[in-house]
Amino acid sequence: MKRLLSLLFFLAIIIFPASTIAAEAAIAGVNVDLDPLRVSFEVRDAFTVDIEEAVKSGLPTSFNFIVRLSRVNPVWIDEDIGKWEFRHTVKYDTLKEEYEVRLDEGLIREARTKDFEEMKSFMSRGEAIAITPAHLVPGEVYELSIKAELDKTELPPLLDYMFFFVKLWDFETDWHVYRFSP
Amino acid sequence: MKDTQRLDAEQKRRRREFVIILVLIPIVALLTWTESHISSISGGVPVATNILLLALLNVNIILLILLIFLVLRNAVKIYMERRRKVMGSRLMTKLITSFVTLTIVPTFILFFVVIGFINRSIDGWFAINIEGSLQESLDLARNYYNDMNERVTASARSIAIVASKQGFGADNDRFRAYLDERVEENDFATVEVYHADGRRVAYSVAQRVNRTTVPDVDQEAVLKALRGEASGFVQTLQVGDVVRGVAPIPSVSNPDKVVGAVAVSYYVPKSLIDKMKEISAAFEGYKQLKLIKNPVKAKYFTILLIITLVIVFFSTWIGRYIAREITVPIQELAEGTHAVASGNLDFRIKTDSKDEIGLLVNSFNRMTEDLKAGKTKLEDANLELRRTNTELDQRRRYIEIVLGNVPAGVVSIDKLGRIVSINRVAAEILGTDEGYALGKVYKEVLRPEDQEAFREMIREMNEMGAESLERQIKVALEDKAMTVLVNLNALKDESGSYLGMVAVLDDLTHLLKTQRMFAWKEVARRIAHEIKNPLTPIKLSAQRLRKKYLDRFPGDEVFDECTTTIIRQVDELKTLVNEFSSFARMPASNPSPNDLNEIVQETVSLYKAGQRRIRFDSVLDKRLPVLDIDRDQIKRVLINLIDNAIAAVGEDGEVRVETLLVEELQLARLEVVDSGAGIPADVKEPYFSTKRSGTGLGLAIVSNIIADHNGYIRVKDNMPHGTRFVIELPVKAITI
Repeated sequence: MKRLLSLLFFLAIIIFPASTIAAEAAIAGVNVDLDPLRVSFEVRDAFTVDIEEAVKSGLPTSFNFIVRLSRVNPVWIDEDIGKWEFRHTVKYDTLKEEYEVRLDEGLIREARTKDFEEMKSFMSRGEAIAITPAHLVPGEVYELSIKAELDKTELPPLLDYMFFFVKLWDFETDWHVYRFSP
Repeated sequence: MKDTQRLDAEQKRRRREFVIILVLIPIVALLTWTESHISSISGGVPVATNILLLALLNVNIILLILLIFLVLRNAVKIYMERRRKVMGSRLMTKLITSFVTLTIVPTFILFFVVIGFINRSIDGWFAINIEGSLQESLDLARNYYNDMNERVTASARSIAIVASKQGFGADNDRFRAYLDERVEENDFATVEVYHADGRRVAYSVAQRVNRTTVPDVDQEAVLKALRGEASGFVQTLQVGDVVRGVAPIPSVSNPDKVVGAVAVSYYVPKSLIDKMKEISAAFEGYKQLKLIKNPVKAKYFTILLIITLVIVFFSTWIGRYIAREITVPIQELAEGTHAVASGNLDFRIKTDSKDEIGLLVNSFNRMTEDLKAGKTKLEDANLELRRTNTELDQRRRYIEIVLGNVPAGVVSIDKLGRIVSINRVAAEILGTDEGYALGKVYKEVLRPEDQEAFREMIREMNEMGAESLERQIKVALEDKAMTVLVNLNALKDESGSYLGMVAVLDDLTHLLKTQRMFAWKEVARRIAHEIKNPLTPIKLSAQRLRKKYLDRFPGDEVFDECTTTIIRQVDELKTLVNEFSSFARMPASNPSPNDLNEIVQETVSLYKAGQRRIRFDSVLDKRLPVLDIDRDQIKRVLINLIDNAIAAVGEDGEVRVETLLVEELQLARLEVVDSGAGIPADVKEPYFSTKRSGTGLGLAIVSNIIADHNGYIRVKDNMPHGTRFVIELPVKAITI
C-alpha cells in the first residue's frame, strides 16, 4: 500500500506542473524611490522547511529577482523600458557555522553572519536597488513588475541530472505589479 | 467477401491510428510546454542533455499513456468479444492472460524485490552512523577553531596587559622585542598594537610570513577593542584562514580606560585547513545526500517502474501479437470449418505463415479443395446416377405399362420364390391383387389348384432339364372358367446362374371361343348346305306319297303316320338347318344411338302378352344414356336370353330384366335373371341347350353379338336359385 501510494505520489509529481506544489512565496513590501529610481521589496515565505534544510546542509542557494519596468499605454500595449535581474546567494560554512551571503545587485556585496534569521533577511530583501538607467517621464504611469524565484539548487552534478524535473526546493512567485507615476 | 472484410478492418485500423495520433499530438505538445516551463531544466544542464532528457521523459510518458490506453482497450475489446461470443475470443483471452501473467508475475516480483533491495540498501547507507562520525569530526574542527580563537584572544589580552604595564610606544624596543618573542614563541603570524587613535604603533611579523601578503586587521574589530570589547574571529583569506584575536589595552592608572588595542593573528596551517574542509565537505555532502534520500529512492523506483511498465507493455503487446498469430488462423480455421460444414467449399484461408499453423492452414485449404473436387465428382456421379435412375425408372414404368397393357399375364419370381413383378392381367388370372402379391412367396398367393399345376410344371421342367415349358391349364375364377396358356421360363444371367422364373399367362378363352365359333360356323354352313338341299325333295316326296297313296291305303295308319313324321321331321330339320344357316351367315352389327331401356321394354312387353303364367318384370335405370348399339341384334340377344329363361323356369316362374349404369366403369349393365334350375358355367358353347328342341346356338349368337359390341357376357348363379346373365356394354360419348 505504501509503495502504491509512493507510485501515485510520483506519478502526480510527473504529471502535475511543479508550480502547483511549490511554496506560496510572494513579493511584498514594495517601495519605490524616485530620482534616482530605487526599489525595495521583500519575498515572504521564501524559506520553506525544505529550503532551510537545503541551506543548512551547505548547499549554495540563490534567489533570482527579476524587475521589469514598463510604461503604461492606455490605448496600446505597454512599452517595455527595461528588465533587471539580481541574485542573492547564500552558502553555509559548516566549519565556521556562519552564512556567507553574496548580494549581487549590480554592486556585489558580501556578508557573513551566524544568525539564520539575519541570513534570511539578507536573502529575502532587496534594499533600495537602483534601477538604472531609467528615464522616467513625469506624469506618465509606469509599472514595476517584480518576481522572485529560487535558482536551481546547485546539487551535485549527477543528482542535478537526476532531479531536473523534481523541484523539491524550488519556488517562483507571481509577478507583483507596482504602478506609479513620477 | 473475405477481401471486403479485410479492407474494412484495414480502414478501421487506419482510422484508429489517426485518432491515436490526434490524441497524442496535443499530449506531446502539452508535455513539452509543461516541461519547457520548468525553469530548473535550463540551468546547469546542457541544452542537448535537456532535449535528450525531455525526449526520454516524453517517450516514457507517451509509452505509459499508450500502455494504459492499449491495455484498457485490449481488455475492453476482449471483454466485448467474449460477450458477443466472437469465435476465437476465448482462446485469445486465455493466451493473452497466460502470456501477460507469465511476464507480469516475474516482472513484478523482480520489481518489488529490487525496490525492497534498493530501499534497504539506501536506508542502510544512511543507517550507518556516518553522520555522527562526521558531526564529531566537524565538531573537532570547529573546536580547533574555537580553541585557537580563544588562545589567540587570550594571547592578545596578555600582550595588552604587558603593553599597558610596559608601554607600547614606537620607541619602546623592549616591548618590540617582547612582541617578537611572543610571535616566535606562539607561532603567531603577526602581533599588532594600535594606539587609541587607531594608529598601528607596533607590528611584529613572523619570519615565515610574507609581510606583503598579510591583510590588515578588520577596522571594525580594532574599533570594537578600542571601545573596550575584546573579540576573536576567523578571517578567510585567499591563502587560508587567519584566526584573529583583538583585545583592548587598559590604562595603568584607570583600568576602565582603553589606551590601545592588540591584534594577534594566527595562520591556520593549510594542511589543517584542507583536512578540516574535507571534513566539512564530507559532512555537507552527507547532509545533502540525506536530504535527497527519498528522491533517490523515488528515482530508482521511477526507473524501475518505467522499465517494468515497458516490459509489461511489450509483454502485453507481444502476447497479443503471438496470441493473434495463433488465434487468427485458428479463428479463420474455425470459420472455415463452419463454412465447409455449411457447404461452402470455396472458403480459403490466406496465410503467409511457414510454421505449423501455416501447415495446418495449407492442409485445411488442400482438404477443402479435395473435398470440393470430391463433391463435384460426387455431384456429377449423383447426377449421372439420378439420370440413370430416371431412365431406369422410365424404362421400368414403360415396362410396367407395357406389362400392364399386354393382354397376357406376366409374373416373375426370384430364386427364393418371391414374386418380383406381376401385372394386372396375371393378378386377375391368378385371382389376387398386385399390391398384395408383390414380395410374397408364390405359394402364399396362388390358389391350391394353381399351385399344384405350377408345381407340376416345375417338376416336369426339372425332369426334362428344360428351361421353358408351355402348358394349357384351366383356371376357375369366381364367376367364370378360363383356359390359360402358361409359358414358364427359367431366368438365368450371363454366367448361367439361376435368377428365378417368369411365367407368361395367355388367356386362350377368347381365342378358343373364336376358333370354335369359326369351326361351328363352318360346320353350320356345310350342314346347312349339305342337309338343306335333300330336305325339300324328301319333304316333297313324302307329301307326294301321302297325296297319292293316302287314299289308296285307307285305314293304314302306318302310312299316314310315317309320311306325317317324315314331313314333320323334315320341317324340324329345315328349322335346324335354317338356324345353322343364320348362325353361319350372321351379319355384322350396325350400331346406332339407341335407348337400351326402350329396347328392353319393347321386348319384355312382347312376352308379357304371350306368357300369362310367367311373371315378367323389368327394373330399368333411368340414368342410362343413349348407347351406340345395334337395336335389332340387341333385341335378338334379349329374345334369346328370355327364351332361355322361359325354358328354364318352365310352367311357373319369374323372369326379370334389369338395366344399370355403372358410372365408375362407364358401363351399361343388362341382366336377365330367371328363377329356374340354373346352368353350368360353360354355357356359351354352341349346341349347348337344356331345351328339348333347342339347337344350342342361341347363346353362341348372343355371345357373338355382345363381342361385336365390345361388350362382355357372364353367367352367374342367381341366389337362391336360377341363372343370371350379365351383359356389360361400354358407354361412349355419342355424337348424334
